[in-house]
Amino acid sequence: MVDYYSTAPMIARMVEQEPDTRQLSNVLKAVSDPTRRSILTQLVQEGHIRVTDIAAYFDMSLNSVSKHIKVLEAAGLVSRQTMGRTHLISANMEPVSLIDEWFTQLRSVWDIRLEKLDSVLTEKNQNE
Amino acid sequence: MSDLTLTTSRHIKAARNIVFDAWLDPEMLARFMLPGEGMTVPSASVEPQVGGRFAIVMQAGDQQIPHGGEYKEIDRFDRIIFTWESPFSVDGSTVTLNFKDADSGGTDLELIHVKFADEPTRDNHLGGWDSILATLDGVLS
Repeated sequence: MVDYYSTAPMIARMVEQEPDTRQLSNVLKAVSDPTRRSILTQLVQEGHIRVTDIAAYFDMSLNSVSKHIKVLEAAGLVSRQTMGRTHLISANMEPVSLIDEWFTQLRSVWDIRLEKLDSVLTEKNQNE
Repeated sequence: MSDLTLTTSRHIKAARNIVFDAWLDPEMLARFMLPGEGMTVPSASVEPQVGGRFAIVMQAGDQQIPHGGEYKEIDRFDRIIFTWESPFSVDGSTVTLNFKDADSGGTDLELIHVKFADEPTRDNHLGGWDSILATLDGVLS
């Protein structure tokens, strides 16, 4: 019989070893807030927007908007450009793929194994 | 019943005998019995008979975790039942594989994994139910 408790450190290490773990956490934290989700939606739909326009659109102080933008930036979801004295931000959707990947992997270990069996047998067919 | 059942299935574009035999072939087990993404199976061994055991070592980084089980039923090419001992299932569990020809060709593989919340449930499942059902089957046919 396998020793249950000795495997806990291995599992903890499995999670640590994922290189994108910290960024995934930052992305999930960023989109956990409804205001930030709205900001991100606006950016994706409209392209570049001035920070001051975002504040006006959401009827928020520049200070509050800046805090939200910092969180989105930390997640890599937003990038900043300055043109003269104008600050523009735009969305970067690449980090969203981390969420996709995590959800795709979030399935039973037996589904992972059956999928692997499928690909091993199918590639075998192709080689014969 | 206080058991925890997971059922999943997959259509595989390969003949039923090939899909069936893959489960009793240690080289094939080493290729698909992955514990999770990014892990490997450095070794596997199989005694392909009822009462025989299989052993699979799974590896993550430098840690090796042995898994194993015993074959309870092997019906070529319809069904395999084996017990599954893993670190996540303290009281053990049972896996049933049902193999059917798919209408569109290939094989429909169904996997039923029954975990046990406690030992008495497991013992009932492995011992009692099997013989009860077998007796019932005999009475009905």
